[in-house]
Amino acid sequence: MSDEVLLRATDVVKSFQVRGGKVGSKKTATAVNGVSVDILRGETLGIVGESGCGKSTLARCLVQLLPVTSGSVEFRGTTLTGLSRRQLRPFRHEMQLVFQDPYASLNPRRTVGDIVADPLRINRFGTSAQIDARVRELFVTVGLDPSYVQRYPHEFSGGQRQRIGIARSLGLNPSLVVADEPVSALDVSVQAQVLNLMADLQDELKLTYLFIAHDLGVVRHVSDRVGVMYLGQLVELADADVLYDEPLHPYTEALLSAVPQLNDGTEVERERIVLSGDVPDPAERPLGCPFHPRCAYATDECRSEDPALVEIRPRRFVACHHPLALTHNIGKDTA
Amino acid sequence: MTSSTSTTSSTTTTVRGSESPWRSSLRQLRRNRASMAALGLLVFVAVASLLAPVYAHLVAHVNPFPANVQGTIRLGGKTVSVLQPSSVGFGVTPIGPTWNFSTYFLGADPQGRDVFARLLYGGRISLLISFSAAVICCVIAAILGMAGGYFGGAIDWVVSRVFDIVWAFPVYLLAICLSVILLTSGLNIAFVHIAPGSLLLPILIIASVYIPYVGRPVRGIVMTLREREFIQAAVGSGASDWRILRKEIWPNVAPTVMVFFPMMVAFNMLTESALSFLGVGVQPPNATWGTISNDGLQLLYTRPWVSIAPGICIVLTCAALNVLGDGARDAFDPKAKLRGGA
Repeated sequence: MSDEVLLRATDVVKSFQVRGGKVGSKKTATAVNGVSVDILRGETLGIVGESGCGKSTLARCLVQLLPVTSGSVEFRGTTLTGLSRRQLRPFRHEMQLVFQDPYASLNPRRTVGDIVADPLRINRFGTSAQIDARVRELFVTVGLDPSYVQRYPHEFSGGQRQRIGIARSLGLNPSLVVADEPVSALDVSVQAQVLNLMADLQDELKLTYLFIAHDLGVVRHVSDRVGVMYLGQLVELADADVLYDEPLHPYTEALLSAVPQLNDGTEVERERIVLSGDVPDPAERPLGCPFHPRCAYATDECRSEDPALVEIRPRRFVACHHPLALTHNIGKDTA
Repeated sequence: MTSSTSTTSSTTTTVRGSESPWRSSLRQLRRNRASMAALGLLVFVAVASLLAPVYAHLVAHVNPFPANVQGTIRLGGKTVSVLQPSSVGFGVTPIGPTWNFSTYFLGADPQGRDVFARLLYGGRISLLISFSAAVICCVIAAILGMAGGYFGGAIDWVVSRVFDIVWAFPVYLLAICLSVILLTSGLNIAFVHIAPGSLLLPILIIASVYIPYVGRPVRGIVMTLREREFIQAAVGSGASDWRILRKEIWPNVAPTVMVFFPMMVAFNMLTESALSFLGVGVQPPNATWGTISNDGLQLLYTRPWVSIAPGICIVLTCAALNVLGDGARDAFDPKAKLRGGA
């Protein structure tokens, strides 16, 4: 990992028009609300959060599959936001997406060889013989038998399909791979295989990962840094171990308390914090801190003012008026 | 029991290995006996119709188009005239079915022409119109539906409104109105000129009134496909819209169009027959099952076969097309809704 910034997102906002309660009325749902984050070359940045918190939308905004409502995304110093689809083409091969659902992400009516060859053909990788050779090489890279190229997606298991998705994303030697919950649709045993494959590929091909998940255990295992998202906002961002040992945001604390633990005395025992209520409707965000309606430590300040994400220690960002370890003893108050 | 059969069939497909979805669907269709019987019947009807000139010239030795009011035939050793004075005292009664393939098998029509030979010639036109109208209808519907569903926005608005407008008219009313107008003046738009008697007119009219029936479901499918992740993957690889439509969308839409095709041929045949029966479809001297049916109308009490025979042809062909369509639906696209609108 270096300090070189590969991708920089500044104040990325993505909102959607949704149908309101009354006929014909429209509301604006803000799925991503002002996220700023740097992805460093060679690192794995994990993003966690509940479903519906805007993780996937953020991923799609970063790789320019969705246009941002405001804010900017820079890739190696070039601003990508606002470019047309044609202008984006030269950058596409640098950043590839691995999808969550291995069943929806492969066209059921094309052979897997065709699917993996597609990015190569579109970007004029070489002659058809060169492309064939590259496809076979990619199959070997992700641990699949190259003789499977003529088969159709329905003949593969979920784990194999995800390997095919990874092979497709690697074809053009991307520098950034955005993995949108790549293992959450897989069995636990298969999850480990796919995660190990991704780790090996990172070493081999010097990849940078943005790894999105809702499973904190998985994210800790693979990430160098972890960002926590809540209601479209980044509430905490820190090195993985630091974040897990000493969460600063009450939401992070609650998330971590939900991770099952082994009773072998090696880890800090955490009090289980059960959050009341639901994630608010992104079309009707609460005033102030987005987390305050569910936060045990909320004060009047939290109800009126939205805290900014600040670097309170080196490489340690939190968006909270009353960061935990600094003002409370972890978890004790809620016991 | 159904569940156990479906499990077995799914395991066999997995074991067989790399078989394309097209091939496995075709195999399934081939195993469907009712569909294969229907296909056999259709092939028989098509071949018989194609052989119409062979029958007329070599077997029956008749020309089924000009009126044959003075004609006579040899029947049971004596010469009988084709049209005989009616027993009621006015008009004429054509001879009835001889049940002999070599001469007037189904009798004669009011103009003394061989009904069976006309039936074969009529089958050619009926099949030609319904088949080519189905091709035109499915092609245009697929293009419009894919464009509307994929691009959305203004294009979708225009496509949907066109579908709505056509859909809003009762099919027969619209077809009859178009026919009445176009059959008198022909079609003259810009440098497209179609003569009033041309077969192209009924083909185009019938094709256009059914476009929304296929176009709407196609548009719906494309709209759901659009949200699928493999489309995003293609966009993320830098694929153009044209490439996505061709390589990702079309292979997923084609089975549905395939399923609709036999059904549309059947609909077209019924519409064509109805229009021709009412005199606003195919114009003389061409004959179709609809016009022959109309020829026999005045003889319904004395010589019912003139009307019944083309009716049976229409019923059998359309029934076969429907059975084939259902089989195609089961094989290619079990979720498709063929009837009851879309």
